[in-house]
Amino acid sequence: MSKYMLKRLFSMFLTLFVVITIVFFLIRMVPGDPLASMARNLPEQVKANFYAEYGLDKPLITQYFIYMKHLLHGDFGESLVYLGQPIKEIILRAIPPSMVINIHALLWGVTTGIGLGILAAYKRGKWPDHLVMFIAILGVSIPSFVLATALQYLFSVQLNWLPTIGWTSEPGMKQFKYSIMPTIALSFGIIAVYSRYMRASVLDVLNQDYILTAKAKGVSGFSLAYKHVLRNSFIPAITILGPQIAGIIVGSFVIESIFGIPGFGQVYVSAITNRDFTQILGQTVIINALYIFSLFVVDIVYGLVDPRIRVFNK
Amino acid sequence: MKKILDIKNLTIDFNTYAGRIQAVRNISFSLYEGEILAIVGESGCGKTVTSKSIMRLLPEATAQVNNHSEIIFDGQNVLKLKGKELKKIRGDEIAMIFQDPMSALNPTMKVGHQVAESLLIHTKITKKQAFKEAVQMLKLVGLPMAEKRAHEYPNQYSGGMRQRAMIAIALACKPKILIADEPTTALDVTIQAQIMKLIKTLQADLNTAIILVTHDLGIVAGMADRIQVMYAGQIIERGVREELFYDPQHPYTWALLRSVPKVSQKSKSQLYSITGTPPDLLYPPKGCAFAERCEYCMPICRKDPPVETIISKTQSVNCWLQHKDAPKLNKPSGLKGVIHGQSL
Amino acid sequence: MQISKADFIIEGLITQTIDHKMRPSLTYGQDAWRRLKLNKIAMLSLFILIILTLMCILGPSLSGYDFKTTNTLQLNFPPSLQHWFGTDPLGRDLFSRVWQGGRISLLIGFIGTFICITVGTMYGGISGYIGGRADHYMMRVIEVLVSIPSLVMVILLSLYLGSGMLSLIIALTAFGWTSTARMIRGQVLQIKQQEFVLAAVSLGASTARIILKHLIPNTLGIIIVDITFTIPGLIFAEAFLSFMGLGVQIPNTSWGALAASARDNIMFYPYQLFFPSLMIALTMLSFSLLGDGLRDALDPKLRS
Repeated sequence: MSKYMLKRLFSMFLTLFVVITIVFFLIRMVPGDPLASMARNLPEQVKANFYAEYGLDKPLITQYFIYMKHLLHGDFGESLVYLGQPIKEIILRAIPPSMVINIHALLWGVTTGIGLGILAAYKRGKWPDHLVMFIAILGVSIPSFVLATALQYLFSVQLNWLPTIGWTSEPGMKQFKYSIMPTIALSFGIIAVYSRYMRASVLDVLNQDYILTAKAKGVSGFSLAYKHVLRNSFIPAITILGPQIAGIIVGSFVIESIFGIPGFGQVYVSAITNRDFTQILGQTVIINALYIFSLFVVDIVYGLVDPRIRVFNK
Repeated sequence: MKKILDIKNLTIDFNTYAGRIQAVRNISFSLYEGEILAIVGESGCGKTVTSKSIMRLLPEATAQVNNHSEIIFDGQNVLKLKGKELKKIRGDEIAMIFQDPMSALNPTMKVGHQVAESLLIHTKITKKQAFKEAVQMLKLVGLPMAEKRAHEYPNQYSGGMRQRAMIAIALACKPKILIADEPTTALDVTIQAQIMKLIKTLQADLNTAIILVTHDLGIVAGMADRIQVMYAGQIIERGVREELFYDPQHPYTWALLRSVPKVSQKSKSQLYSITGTPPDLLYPPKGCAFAERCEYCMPICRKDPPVETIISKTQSVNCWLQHKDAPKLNKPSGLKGVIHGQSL
Repeated sequence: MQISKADFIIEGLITQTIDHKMRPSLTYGQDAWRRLKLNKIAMLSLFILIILTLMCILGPSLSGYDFKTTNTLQLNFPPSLQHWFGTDPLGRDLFSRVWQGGRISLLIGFIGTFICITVGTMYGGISGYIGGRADHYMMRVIEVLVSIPSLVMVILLSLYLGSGMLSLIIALTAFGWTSTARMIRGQVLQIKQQEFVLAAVSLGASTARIILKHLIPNTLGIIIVDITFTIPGLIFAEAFLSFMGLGVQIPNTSWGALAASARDNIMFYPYQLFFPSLMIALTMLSFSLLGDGLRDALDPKLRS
């Protein structure tokens, strides 16, 4: 591994460490005691035991070191709301439903978005371009919860084709039916982002001198598009793909809540409403780690596909 | 000599936000087999637009080539060609080298493949053979360690090497015409001479006709057989090299020659420069385009455009000074010396 | 064509020429405005935004109903002549509520954007201008901030700060300025390298002069474009927070809060969702299109 990579890796862990620290203290400073609601009616002695068991009686800084030590061993602690439940288990249970929905949405959204973006760039100023750009702007103009609600109203209430909310962990027709609306709702935004991005990228490449060189050689049609235009315009699109792949696991807070999918996002939202400190912290750490790691992967992939950036020889 | 390219009444406009810019205004000229024709002029005079139009490389959305324009190559009007016929000419019959070798090569494609690409399109050979031939071509243009370098990407090349690669791409199919648009402007002075020498040698070997577009009269002096001076979208003077350098007729040509630094020049003397700027081609002047900046301007020059006056079999000029009523002038000093000063 | 002898007298260079048409010389701003005016979509967007803003100012007093007065006799009325946008489950007039909500949404958008842009521009400008080690550390700070998913951070902050307009704006802007800062820094770094700034420096221009005369005018374009994307972004973010119950608190309301509360009644009263959603979408759409238009108009490369 090269020096650059090591440096990059080091700064990645440093960032992660700083972020976890900030989040830890931020969360612990939030007013509202996680045990308050359930401990309200308990006698003082039992209450004190509870606090001691969860380490909440110790000073904040001690709590922080305890937490970091556990974290290094892959232990996220126990839920403060669902007593006795390890956070790790709750999270592992929540990831598969999120993944199903998000992989669908990502595959569908990215391919459609890229396709539409290329189409728009090649038909610049003509009606397909205007149509694609209209869809793209609409995609970022309608809040996803409105879109999701509208889908429910149309397909469930009016047409009665699909179940409004719900989920099954068994793959199959039933799961597929449950996943259709969340997938559409999620992919709409992805299509919007990618079509805009690809359009701009393709237009940029089309204006480059090397496209003139290729045309002057007699390259045309498919080979011009594939070898010269698309290969170069895909590269910048990698930048936005990274965080989105991290999003596969993280899921969507809003969409999962609306469609009643017991995924990572919904669990997170309920943890916030329940003031479940350890749960919020654990999930935030995972989100951060995934995000930072995805940026690292993007960097490496970039170096592999773009010969102008030599990550490995430096 | 045989005519291989005939351009008639070429007129090109650009539609921009500001309005219609008349970049090339009704020019006609021919190119003969195996010759080097230089088109000289300052930036914005339409020389690059002219050269791109021959390959049909102007942006279709904004550039408008007038309907009565003709570019005749091999008996057919290039401007009317479609799809396959156009593809056949590009790269195979007519090839082009661009100004900036830094941006003219595809950054994500190995240089060897970029050279091989035009061979693959225009000849019936396998990929392997094409690559082999590409390496040969890279050797021919003087690329050091061509076998190894062919597998590298453009960003691993220096500017001079990139321009050599560009020349290899252009000459891969041994075209009849090579258009070189400011081929050395973006390069260091020492590399410039090498590249020009290379082009000249290859031209002699392959008997390719070259259209050399440049603003540098020094380059022209060492290479061109014939020279055309362009100003504000028009050709204002044309002739063989000796005529243009020893007996120029247009005040603009004089001004160009006087503004080239010369070895014989005294160190303290100031270099001549042309005052003012070229006219805005959004509103071309109705008289002579150079009138505004001409030291010999007459009232007629502002009223009507000058017509072409034949000086010799090869030389002609568009200037009112040629009119029988115009005063006879002595040409300014400082015109001579260029042709010796910088010949290659 | 009439030619006389007088036409052939050499005059040489005449500095003042008469019949020479030049394209009108315009300042950067005039030129950009001229091109923006040619862009019909951008102008329509601007028009819609002005109308929306006017309605938010005047709207609540137009229908004759107070936005928080409940009326148990008029629950969930569909749109009619009496109640133009209908009424909500508490019998409140939705027309008044939509525009009252708009006030909050737009206010959050405008105030939040002002803070984000000011902080971001100063931070990015300083970082880019000073450069070196300070720049390195300032960028590290931003790197840490952006690697915390913004929605997560906003949720945590609004938990911490409690509810209310002020805390909402703080929560939304606490991390919103980073993208502006990054962009401005990039632009400043680029301009700093350019010859005209180097020339000014070598001529002995003071730091203040360089910032005032070169850096600010050359970043103004992207700041204006950034504003048109930050405002709708904040309105959007507020809508999400409202959906999660972390937005504006009753009796006050916003477009996001109206849309979120209407979700419960979607089966029976879809119009309650339609109007606030339409306003959000219109605002987003208009700002995006205006921003695109401004970007084209302000792009110096497109000047001709």
